[in-house]
Amino acid sequence: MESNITGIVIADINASPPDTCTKVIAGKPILEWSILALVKSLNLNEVIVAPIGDLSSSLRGLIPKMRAKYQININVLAPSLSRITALQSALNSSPNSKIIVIHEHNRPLAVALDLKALVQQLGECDAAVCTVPVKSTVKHVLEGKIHSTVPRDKLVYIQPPYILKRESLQKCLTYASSDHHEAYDEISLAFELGLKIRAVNGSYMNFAIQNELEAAFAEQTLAQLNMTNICK
Amino acid sequence: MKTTAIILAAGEGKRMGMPINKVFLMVGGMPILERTLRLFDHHPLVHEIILVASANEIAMCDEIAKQAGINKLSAIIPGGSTRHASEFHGLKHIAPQILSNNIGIVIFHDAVRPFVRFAELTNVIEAAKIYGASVLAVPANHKVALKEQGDLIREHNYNELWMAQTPQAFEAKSVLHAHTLANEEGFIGTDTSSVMERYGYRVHLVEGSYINIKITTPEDLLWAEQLSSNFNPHSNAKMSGAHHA
Repeated sequence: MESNITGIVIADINASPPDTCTKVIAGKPILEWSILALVKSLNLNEVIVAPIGDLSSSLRGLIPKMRAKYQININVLAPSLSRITALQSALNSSPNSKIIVIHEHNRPLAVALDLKALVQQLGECDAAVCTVPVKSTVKHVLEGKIHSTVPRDKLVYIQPPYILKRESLQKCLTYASSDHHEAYDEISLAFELGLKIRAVNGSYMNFAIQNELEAAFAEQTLAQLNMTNICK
Repeated sequence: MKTTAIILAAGEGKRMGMPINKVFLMVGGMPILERTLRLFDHHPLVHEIILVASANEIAMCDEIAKQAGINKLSAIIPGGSTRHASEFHGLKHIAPQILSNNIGIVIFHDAVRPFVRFAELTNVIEAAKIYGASVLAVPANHKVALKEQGDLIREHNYNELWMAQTPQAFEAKSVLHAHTLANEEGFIGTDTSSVMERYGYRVHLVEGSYINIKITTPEDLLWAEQLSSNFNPHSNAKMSGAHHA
């Protein structure tokens, strides 16, 4: 059945070490694991890689291979200057999609999540996002001083992937560009607009790789989760 | 005056999903408890260690401490039903020494945080000497929201949120005073700092490191195993906090 869901992988080249996309862990480049996280559990019409900054030519060279391997249309956009403009470009390039799943290039361990729950929970909501409970005691800090301890029983961390209805995402992006809120991401904008956001169980393992130690940990974890044999 | 560390080890293995207390799990070939005790035993500003353990695990803790040759351990005392109660048990045990000015600073530390570094412990102790109360913490650096009945209601400005860790260090008479008031009132703090905050004490924030994880879930145990092979208590290298979310 033809899908109306499009996956967007934001590749913020400037936000993490330069080789994070291409670095191979557990047999695949990190970017490929992050794309696989979407492809593995969702029926997508296409995946759009939306870079912020220049993707290396070696990485662009990987895309046709992934396209053949996963039998899905994977396209790479021209570099954007911000997350908001990257998302707008991706949305413009996929005019028929009704639902958008947004992931980040350096979160390969989302491959262990079943993202169908995101689609199921979207229902009447504008967005659904992965969350995990905050485990630490949380301090509200103002001007470098502890103001109070925040009750943590209802606090959650929000983590990609996010899923949004197309019109809800467009509302966020329009709001961002009209009010020059370039620094925000789409979920902060959705909160600001009062959109209805559903929480879906994520995983503490779904972390963003930002250094060598975390890359090594991700590799070890993929092995422990028996993920290294999927889609070889 | 002495600086006394109260190490809290009376937790259970509920979130870990194991029938054994987390402190006895092996990380890098060594029980978590031993790793933590060694750090405090080797730190030059710590003079004495009090270990608070579940009553039925005192013998096992004692065995681990003896085998590891922990010299500064002066007592292993039974904990309470909550973390807060265990803190108070530890304080009551040393109250005579606090009141007679033998102990000047009290440090509280979770036994399941074996990756605190010497410099962080030093900074927390020194800050407590200057400000009276200090807590090690790291910026939240991830999006945090309030969840109610499955929906996300409000996003917190995560730039204003810090995640408290241990060690937390306090001027001894102040923390005894605050905990005594909490006991009278029936207030239960989620950490020692929150008890101090409730009774009007200003707590100084000391920036820590993201590798000082609290091992509470199976995922944490995997991460701890990875950290153990690279951990250097003398290092000051910065680490990101990505693994938290």
